[in-house]
Amino acid sequence: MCSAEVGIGWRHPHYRELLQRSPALDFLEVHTENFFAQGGATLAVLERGRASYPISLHGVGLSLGSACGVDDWHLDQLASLVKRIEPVRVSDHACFARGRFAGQTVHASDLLPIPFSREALDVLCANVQRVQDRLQRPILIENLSAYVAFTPVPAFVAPYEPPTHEPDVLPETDFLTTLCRRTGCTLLVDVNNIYVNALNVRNGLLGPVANPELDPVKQCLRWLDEISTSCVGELHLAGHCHVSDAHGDIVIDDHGSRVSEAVWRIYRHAVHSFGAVPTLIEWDTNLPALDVLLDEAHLARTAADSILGADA
Amino acid sequence: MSRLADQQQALIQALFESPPRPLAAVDPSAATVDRSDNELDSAPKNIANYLYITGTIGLKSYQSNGKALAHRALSAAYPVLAQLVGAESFEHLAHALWHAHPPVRGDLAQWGDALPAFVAASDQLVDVPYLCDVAHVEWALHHCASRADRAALSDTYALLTSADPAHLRLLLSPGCAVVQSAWPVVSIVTAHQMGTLSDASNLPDLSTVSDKLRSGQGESAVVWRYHYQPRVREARPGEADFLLALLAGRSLAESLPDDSPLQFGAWLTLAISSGLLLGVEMPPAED
Repeated sequence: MCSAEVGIGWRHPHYRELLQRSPALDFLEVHTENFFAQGGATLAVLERGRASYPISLHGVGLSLGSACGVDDWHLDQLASLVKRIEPVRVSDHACFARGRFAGQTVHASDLLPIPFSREALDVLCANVQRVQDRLQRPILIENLSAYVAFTPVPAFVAPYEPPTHEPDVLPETDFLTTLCRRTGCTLLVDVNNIYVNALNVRNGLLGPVANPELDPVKQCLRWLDEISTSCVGELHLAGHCHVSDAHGDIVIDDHGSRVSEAVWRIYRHAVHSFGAVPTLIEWDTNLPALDVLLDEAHLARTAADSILGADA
Repeated sequence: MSRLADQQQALIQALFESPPRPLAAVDPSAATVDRSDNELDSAPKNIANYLYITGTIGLKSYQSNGKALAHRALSAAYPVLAQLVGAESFEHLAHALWHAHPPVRGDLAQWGDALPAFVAASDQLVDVPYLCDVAHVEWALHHCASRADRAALSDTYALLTSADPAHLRLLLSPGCAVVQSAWPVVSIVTAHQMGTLSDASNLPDLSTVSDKLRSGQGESAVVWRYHYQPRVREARPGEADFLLALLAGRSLAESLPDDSPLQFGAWLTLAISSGLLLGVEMPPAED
């Protein structure tokens, strides 16, 4: 039986404890941008971690979907870090953060959604290709949890080219698999993100109307079934939260709690579909004791092994 | 601009514009005006033309996240300033800077260098004139922490006795900086950092700091790194000009004129033991 690799996100409050305890994990994932320093204590900690574990560099700032392209400075920092750490994987998101504001290009420091249009696909492919060419290795691209969605057609008469014979907007799964086919990148499928999106679609947050009849788990299973198995290189698991205020209801992918039962169910389906791909436990807010993360990692390993064993 | 660039500019603008436009209160005719001006990338784009209108709470979640990130990033870089102005004012300050000077890099540790000038220009903070210089010291410390490591070259100090000082350059600690101020900035910073930046046994108490403020006693701050730990102390007589000359690339002889009040021998001992000085080099002579 082939066993899945399982790792955890290694965050600042756990730096020292993890190095001291050296728990049995297959890899550690860090946020790339937290190690853009040219030297100093943080980079030294990462190098100590690298001595004991494979490191996965997970970026949150490349802004691969930006129409204005990838920042040269950012790519330089990433290339330098990749050379120094020799990570097992390099990943970022299908999102944008850079754009024009007040006469300059700014960075929103967030994972902002891109429309699944053919134009956005062309931009994303070009930017991913540029990064891969620079790093001389394929990268992984993560599907996003989004809290707004772009309308597929202008809400006003605009001087754009009229739609061609092909629809301008693709299903997300077509968009992502085409990205993989065109660039050679693979997907980092964040199972929680799919579920959060499904819940927010049901709430009406990502479309013109709410859809209270929608079964979010079934929606996610269908999403996974539409992804080509050869495209997937890693799975992410995390917690989410529900927020309600005067403006409405929203589900936030806050990485601040244990993986929900629904997400575990979707994860088992993902393992059944994609096989023994590495799995990461992400936890970024309300960070608990390291043992809680290790317990989540144990649960992921147990779930994956039971599926892989049954499938063998 | 392409439609994608327009969509992205509209969302970026909705996040950084202050005060934000209400998503649900958009006059469609205003959108037409915006579109006619779309060659100017600074022209406002109405986000309601690009997003599902049901996304109000979603847009607010991005706006809130931006503000939280701004506060967290500046709190890490400016912990003393945060104490001096108070938690609520510092949060407002972070939000104001976020909108006035948005990040341009995808690493928030790089954001915040505009804060000292922003503080200096603030009408609300005009009564606290030393805040700007405190912020300068804190940014120097923040910057210093991430500079490239440099090993000490102990065997190079023999050059100080064997070579012409006009041909020697001193190798200073990564991130070494000098901040000259008309205010007691070192005392203010170290008193609020409670020993994390300097010798804990030699910290000024807050009453001493108040006395120095009342008497208008200025201090020049020397910032450097001891191993991985950023440090700050008050410059010795003549040291600020000396270090600034070295940092400008001048030779030892050029940096230490005969009339300098700096006692070089005593400085050398202190600088080596504290990690401020890492070695001496003799660059190849220029033709």
